[in-house]
Amino acid sequence: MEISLEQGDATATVRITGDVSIDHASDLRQLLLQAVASDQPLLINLEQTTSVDVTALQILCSVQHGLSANGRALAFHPAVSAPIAAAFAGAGLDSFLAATK
Amino acid sequence: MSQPNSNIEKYKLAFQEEARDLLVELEATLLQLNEDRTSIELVGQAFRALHTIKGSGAMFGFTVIAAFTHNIENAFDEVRNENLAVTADLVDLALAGLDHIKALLDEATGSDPADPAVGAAILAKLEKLTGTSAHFAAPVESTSSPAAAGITRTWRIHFAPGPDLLTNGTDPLLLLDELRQLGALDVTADTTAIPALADLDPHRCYIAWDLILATASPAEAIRDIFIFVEDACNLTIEPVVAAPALASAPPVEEPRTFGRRADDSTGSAANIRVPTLKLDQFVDLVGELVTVQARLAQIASHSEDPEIESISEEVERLTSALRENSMSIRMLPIRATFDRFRRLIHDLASDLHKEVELSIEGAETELDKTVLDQLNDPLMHLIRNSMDHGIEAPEQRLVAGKTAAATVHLSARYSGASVLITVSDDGRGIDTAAVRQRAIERGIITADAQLSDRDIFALIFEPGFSTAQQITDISGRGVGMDVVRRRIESLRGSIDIASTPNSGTAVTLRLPLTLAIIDGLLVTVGEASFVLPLSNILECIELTRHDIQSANGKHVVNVRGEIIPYIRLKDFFHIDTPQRDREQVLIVTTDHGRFGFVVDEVLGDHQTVIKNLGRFYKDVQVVLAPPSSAVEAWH
Repeated sequence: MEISLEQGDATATVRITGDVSIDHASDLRQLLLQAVASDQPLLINLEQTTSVDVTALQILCSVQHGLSANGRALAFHPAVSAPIAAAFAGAGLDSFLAATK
Repeated sequence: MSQPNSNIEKYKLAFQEEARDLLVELEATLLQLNEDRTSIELVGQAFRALHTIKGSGAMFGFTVIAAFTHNIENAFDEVRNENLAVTADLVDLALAGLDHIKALLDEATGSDPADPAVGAAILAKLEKLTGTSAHFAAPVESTSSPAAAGITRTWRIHFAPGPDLLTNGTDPLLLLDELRQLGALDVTADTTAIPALADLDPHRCYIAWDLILATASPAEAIRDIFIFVEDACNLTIEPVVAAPALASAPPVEEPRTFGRRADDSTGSAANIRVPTLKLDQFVDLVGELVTVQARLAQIASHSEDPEIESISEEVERLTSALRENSMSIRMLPIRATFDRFRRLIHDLASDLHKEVELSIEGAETELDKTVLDQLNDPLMHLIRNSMDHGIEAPEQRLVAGKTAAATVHLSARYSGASVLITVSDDGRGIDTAAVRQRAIERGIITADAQLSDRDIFALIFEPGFSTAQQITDISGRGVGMDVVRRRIESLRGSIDIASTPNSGTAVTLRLPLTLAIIDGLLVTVGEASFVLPLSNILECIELTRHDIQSANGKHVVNVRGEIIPYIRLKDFFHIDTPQRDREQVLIVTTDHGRFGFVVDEVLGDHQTVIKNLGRFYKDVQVVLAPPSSAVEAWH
């Protein structure tokens, strides 16, 4: 897995590529904490993400809950890859994915 | 950051280790079952072991192992359901199946591939025995497919992972996928427990699921999916709708809850699995620490600084406690080692057409892991010899007034700083006349040699010695007992044989409790220091010039009427130091009798680390070298 944070003028983008497992959960959480610390709208790019486990899903849920509570938005851009969409749906989190569109 | 697949590989490795442990348990269970064929408990144990191997195998991608095991598991399921009886054939087939699973595990670790013909033959026999069709490579899920059962029911499942579920290596999403294979699944995730990101423990699962599953599979199939996480989750399975067309519908099952509650965070694993290498490294480091502590103690005693001496004493106390602790970690009960021989005895008895029962005593006795690892071969040789040479055929036993079934007894017990392991039988005993005759024929002894029974028994350990008239696959090549002696001596142990004609033979191995660090006695000769194992030292006596003169220059000392030969270390190691008027003789006991070592001074107790010098020095008999605190000698 590779993760990166790009802070542009208008948005912060977190790009996640490859397989995301519990091994990477701490790093993912840490980077997202950094990303939400800025006031910019947050974009998450899962286009090149090949698989996620439940740790990644609940971290993303937590980010979305936190931002939403503060009136901020989280969006997946570009659209998530098919395997990731299937993972959200398989975990019963398809509504979460819909809420971020 | 760790490699993406490192976890999967780690779990695969853990599965292989767990599967091998389960196979050991399964083997013991099957052999017990062979003796008690009506035991529902043993059938259940065998079934559960097979089920775990199958389930874990499938989970971690060992599909061939899972599919093969599934067939044997099915047979035991039939036994559980009283559709099949336990017979010697079933046990033998299961044991053969177990060997094939071992071969498949070996193949997975890069060893020679398992022979598929062997697996196919076992399954063919199993099919004949059970009257059901076996599937060599059938998907494991086949038994729980909706089509197999035929009647669709709807189940409400509440699944709340506990705090440790993810760190145990389970991904709940995979469990949900497995449920989908049973039928249509509606998934509702409860995310209300997910905390703010700053408070979130990334390794803990906060999501719970409410699931509706429509499946023709029985409740057992649903529960099986959660079988490995039962203790790490809160799980409820209850039927929602019974099939209306079912004339004699089974009673609606009560909701069942498994495992501890998700909010119960007090439970923790009682044991952890640690790689042997890590444990060895730990003990090695403790060994280094003991050495450094000895140096510190020496410097402190010469410093005459009370503060340094106080610190040194504290370090000594802690090091000693750490040493005891690390040694105890390496101690394992001998049970698993003994249990392994149930199979050997079962197979040998069958091959030799003898009836043999195994009895075990003191299986809880603990030994250093290093010692245990090296005990398998010697014990196997002793048991093979006992089964082949010692135990008579049933008809011979009956003629001799014994029961047709012989007994091989394995026992272990503590004796001071040693452990005594005995392999005994109630066979014909050792024929001392035959041993003597063979030794004469081989030129080991002369025809007029005066030998005690003990001396004659010792001949058995001579290389190439055998009284067997026929070379068999079991023993009789005359290599076994020689190997036993060398292996036991390499462990700083000794062997004793007791045998009575027509009553049986007992071979006792005396082994040190631990190999890594010993209590020694520190002595000096001139400037050189030596450590002798305390467990071998009987006493210390003074040697004066008068004693030497009264022995007429011979290197012997009279200890309360017993003449004991001695070696003067000063001469043996060519240490250039003037001979003292009064020297000390340490009287030691060995397998070859009592001896004395003459030294200048005895300094006192000394913890000594024993480390392997490595292959390079394997042919060196004696080493004189200046290590950190003492000159040590090996031979």
